[in-house]
Amino acid sequence: MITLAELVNAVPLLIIAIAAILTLLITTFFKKSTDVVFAVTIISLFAAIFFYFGDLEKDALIFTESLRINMVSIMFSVIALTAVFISVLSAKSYIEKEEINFGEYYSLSLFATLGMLVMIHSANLIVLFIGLELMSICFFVLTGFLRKRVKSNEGALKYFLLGAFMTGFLLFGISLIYGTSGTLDFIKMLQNQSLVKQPLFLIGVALFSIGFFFKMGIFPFHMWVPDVYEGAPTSVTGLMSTAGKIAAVGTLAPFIVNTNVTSLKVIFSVLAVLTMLFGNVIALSQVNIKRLLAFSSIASAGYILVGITAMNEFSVKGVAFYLFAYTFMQLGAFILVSVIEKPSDSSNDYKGVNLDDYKGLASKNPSLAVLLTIFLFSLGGIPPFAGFWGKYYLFYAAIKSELVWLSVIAILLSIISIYYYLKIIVYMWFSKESGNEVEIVVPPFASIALYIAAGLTILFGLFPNLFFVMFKTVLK
Amino acid sequence: MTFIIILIFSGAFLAPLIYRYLNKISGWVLALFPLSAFVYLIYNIDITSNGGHFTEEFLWFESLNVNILFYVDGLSLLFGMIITLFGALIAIYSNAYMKKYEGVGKYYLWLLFFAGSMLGVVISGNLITLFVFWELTSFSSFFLIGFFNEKEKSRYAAMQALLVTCLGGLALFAGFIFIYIITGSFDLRYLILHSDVVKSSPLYTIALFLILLGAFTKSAQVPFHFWLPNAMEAPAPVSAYLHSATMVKAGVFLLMRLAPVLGDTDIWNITLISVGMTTMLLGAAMSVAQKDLKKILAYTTISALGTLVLLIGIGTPLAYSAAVLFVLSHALYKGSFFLIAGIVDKKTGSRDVESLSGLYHYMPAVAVFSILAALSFSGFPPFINFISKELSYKASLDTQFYFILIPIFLLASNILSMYSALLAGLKPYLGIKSEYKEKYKISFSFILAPALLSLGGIAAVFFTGILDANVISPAAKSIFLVNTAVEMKYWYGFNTAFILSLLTFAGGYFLYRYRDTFKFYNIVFVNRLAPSRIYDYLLSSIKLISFRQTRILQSGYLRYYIIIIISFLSVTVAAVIIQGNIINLTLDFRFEGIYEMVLFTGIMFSAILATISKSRLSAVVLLGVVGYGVAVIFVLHGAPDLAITQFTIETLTVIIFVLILYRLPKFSNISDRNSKIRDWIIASVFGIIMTIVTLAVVSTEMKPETANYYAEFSKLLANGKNVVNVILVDFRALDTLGEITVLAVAALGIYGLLKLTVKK
Amino acid sequence: MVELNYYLGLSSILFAIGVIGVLVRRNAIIIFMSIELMFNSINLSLISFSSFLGDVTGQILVFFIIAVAAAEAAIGLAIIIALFRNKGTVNIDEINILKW
Repeated sequence: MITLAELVNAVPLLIIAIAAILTLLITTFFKKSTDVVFAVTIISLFAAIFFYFGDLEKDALIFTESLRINMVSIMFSVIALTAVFISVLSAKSYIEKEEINFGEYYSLSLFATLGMLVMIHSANLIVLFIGLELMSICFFVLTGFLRKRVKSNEGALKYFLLGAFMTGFLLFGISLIYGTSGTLDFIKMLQNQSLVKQPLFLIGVALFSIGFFFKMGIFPFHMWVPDVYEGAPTSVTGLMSTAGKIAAVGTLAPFIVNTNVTSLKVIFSVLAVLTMLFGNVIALSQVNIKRLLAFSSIASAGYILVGITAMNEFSVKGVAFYLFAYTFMQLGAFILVSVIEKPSDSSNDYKGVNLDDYKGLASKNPSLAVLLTIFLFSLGGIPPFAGFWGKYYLFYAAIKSELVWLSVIAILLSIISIYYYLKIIVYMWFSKESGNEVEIVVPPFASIALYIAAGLTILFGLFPNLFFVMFKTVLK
Repeated sequence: MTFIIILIFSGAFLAPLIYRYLNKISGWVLALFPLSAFVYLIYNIDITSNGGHFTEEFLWFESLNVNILFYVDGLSLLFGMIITLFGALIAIYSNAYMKKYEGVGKYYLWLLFFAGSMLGVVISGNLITLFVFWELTSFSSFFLIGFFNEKEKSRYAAMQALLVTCLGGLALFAGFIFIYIITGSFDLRYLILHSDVVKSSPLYTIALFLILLGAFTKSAQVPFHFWLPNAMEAPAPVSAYLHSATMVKAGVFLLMRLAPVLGDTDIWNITLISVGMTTMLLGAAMSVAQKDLKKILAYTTISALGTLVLLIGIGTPLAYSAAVLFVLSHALYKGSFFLIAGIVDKKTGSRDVESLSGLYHYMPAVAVFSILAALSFSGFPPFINFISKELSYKASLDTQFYFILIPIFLLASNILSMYSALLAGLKPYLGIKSEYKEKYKISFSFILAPALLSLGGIAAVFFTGILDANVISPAAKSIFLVNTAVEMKYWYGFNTAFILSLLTFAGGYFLYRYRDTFKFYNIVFVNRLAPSRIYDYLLSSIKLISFRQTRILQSGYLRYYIIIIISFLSVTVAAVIIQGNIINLTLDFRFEGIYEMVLFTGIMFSAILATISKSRLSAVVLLGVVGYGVAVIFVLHGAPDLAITQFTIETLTVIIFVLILYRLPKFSNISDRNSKIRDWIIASVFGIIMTIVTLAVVSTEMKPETANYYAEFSKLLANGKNVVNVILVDFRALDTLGEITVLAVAALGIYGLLKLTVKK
Repeated sequence: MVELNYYLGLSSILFAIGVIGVLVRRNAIIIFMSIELMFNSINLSLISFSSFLGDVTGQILVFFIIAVAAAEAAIGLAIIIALFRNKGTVNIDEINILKW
């Protein structure tokens, strides 16, 4: 049943799948092979990105119509892969530092990536569900990867229980969608125009969306985010907060926009406002930088939801661009946190993740301070960094859909965020060092990852159109 | 245009290198970058002096239709010249001032970076370009202050300055967005042509409000003025450049730039005049209570910025000319003042005007230039500032707003400012010799910039005609759009304005002469009056809100998280049900299928019992029973294979769970009474709503038109009889592969989490 | 064969009971079993829809849900045991280090 053409179209997925299994085998049969596993992971991720720009069919349904390969799904897949790539690159030194340098880390990352790709490409709800679960299960395990640390365990348990609980609602939504539309295929659903007028179908879509809102961290399904982000190993947090979110948004946004369930606009926009409000307000009183970034990522989810709520031709593009920019700045910030974090001697806690630990960073290590300043300014939406254009695009999409009030609220609420970003910046630049004299060592791979992230934050800030040129010229 | 921007930015990025290799003269070399930009502007002065302009446009963000547009007219040219010329002078001055600091290469980087961004602001032709450069100035100014500030106490000030300007920046952006919503364009040329559309729009007021917020915060207008004096921690050249000549004038520039678009409405005039007047007087009044040289300068700068806003608010051609001229003259004397303050501070180690005296004997050249600057500040003829003072008096007399109040305010603030000018510019140099070491050696590069600026204020006398024709008039014209024809003269005749000038000199001298009687230092109202208290209050209350919210929403207890989710869902779904009006259920209980009914009841009861049972084991087993019941239903629906899977997995799960539960310690597994009741209520409401939803599914019309691809083709293509199995194996091979992967990962996860722990 | 709405009613009730279980129970393992109950109720409604619509895709989804639930159970147990080893409890009311 499977033709060669189909296999060719699925090459990036196959690469990730094979690499995942390969790394698993290597880890199982050869001890002390983590460097090899690391190399395989990096190469396979790079190859997958590379082949996405290769000779794929631009609009194909493959494997008995279970996967969709099109412009949008390729765009999101590439973004997700980029996030994983940068994250894994920086993870090596971190997991060595935390003494959890096992090959499984990379295997699980690759399986999670596979789940993301399957999810983004899914053409029906069954495939989507499997992709989602594959990703989630990997994330549950990765969150608890610091087995001896209670915070890591607790984070994993909370994530797991809430995740499974919310999966229940997702499935409930799917069953309603199935009951009202009689199909699980997206394309068949789209053909039935009358569906969006059925309240039950809408409730189904709403519950389905809620499953994704949970993954994105939309209020009031966001409560796990800070707890899990704080508890998980920092490199995993970076991965979850970027790649995980990209996969969720990349699956949900095209579905919502194509189905054009405009009647859900009110609920979506209310959720977006609440998310931005709570994310930004609560971040103000945080003292742990991982939690602070977690709340800022909740606020970002709110901005993304503004773009999704617009439900017009700018939505998907805007969301993609924002996520692309977000990947670099958020991931960059988390990598920096993981670099500054101190090795966990015997004590059972993360060390060096409080805001106080950032005091006087500029005098200790100016280049790190400049990098973090760039990431934070970009997160705050200050031009000329990529984050500005991302936000601008999302708000523009909202304005084009007559949601002027929503975008204005979004801008005003993002003003709050300036305060806590500036707080870190001022701590770094205007404070004396707080006691500790430990030299900060920036490991080579982490510093490559950091400079890639910072460079792209600036590059796509100065030349934002490059993003679309990249996908247009190569994919047309 | 692009050329000079790129030139300055490339200078910025070369700065660390140049500093490394040309250490001693790096400031001089780097001054060449802004200087050549200055020359370029002068070279192109012909185009703008005739009221023309030149533009350059580039595609930037095609998919959003955003372009980079540079647009140079008289106004841009004036500001551009100030920015580039000052940039060069400051770089030279820094050569001496920054000698003993570390990281000077970076300082030059950000200095030139700032110059480039500032130049970008004034030559932007559309609002997006302007906003981008606007924020770049905030960004780079931050580093200019940050690199040389490790004092713990300045953290607060830095935070404040940044926060206020950044917030203003975003408000400005929001305002620009409103303008875009009204007109559909960011292009200034388009906006000026369609200003009536903007002004008649219902969104005009909010757009104006937001834009003014941006301009006022940047230009330190009351009530946002408090950040400027606090920002005086910065090194002297930075203060001179940012806080007197360029950055703080960005707000004023913006107002001038947008006056043809937004201006000439009552709300515009009255807001600007009121804010400007208040700022002008308060700034001057606060300046007299200061002892710190730089603080005095900061408050008089606030006052000057207030005057500028006031003049723009008056909005007559005369007022615009006065404002434009004042921008230039203020930059000259205030820049010089700041730089001299830097020299004094550096050499004597003190900025206290009360204790400094007799410095003339130690640094005569500095004293001369300082006195020149002070006289210029006071507005004595023949300094250029005299003309701008005259013009502003004339403009203030010639407006219908606020009757006679404006000239009175202007007079009062000028008198107070003059006192401050004399105090800061005269007092430290005259009087008795105090105890200082010997003559201070002041290098050429140290004195060059203040000297040129001070002399510039007086040298302009000889060029009034050229200046007027080529710079001032074109600049005023680009605000008013018509030729204004206000001649710059030293003698307009013996009129009211002249009398006001004379009164100013008399009053200022009087205050200075009898300063010991008045004891202005003791007036401490400045601190009480500070809106920075409101700032503090707002900040602390928003933090408190944040703190309380966190305690409620992020309790850390899983149970509360779930309660919040459930309650939210109940409310939302209930709202949708009521909105969608779908509660027309037909519940007719027909007793068909007695076996099913028994089965249903059994399942339900086991589920309920499992939830309330006190024993953990029985809970698990009862939940297993529910699973078996569901499996039976699968059989009833003709899916035996599913049923078998369900049986198997349910059995396995129950066995494993029982085994594990057995090893875990016991604890009473039901919550306390009150929370139990609460949980039950929440859960039951949710349950009822969910039931309604699902039952409603049935009452909606459904079409079981099953274009059933699989059933028809399974036998043909895959030669199988059990439909589900065929689908699983053949049609859905990929899903199944995925499924196997999930299981494999599960195994991997367990391995990762558990087995490795055993090593311990 | 009884009508579809009986099945759906049962499914909803089971779902609600599952939610109640998640809310009132404190033992992490039993909470997870309650979540499994929710999954079972969804399976029930899916299979009813499937036979009502005469379309087998619903059944396939049920199959996957069962399997995924099993995988999740395995992972969940691993997580719970890892936590228990470090902390000595599986009572979710005592698991509260990560907060604020």
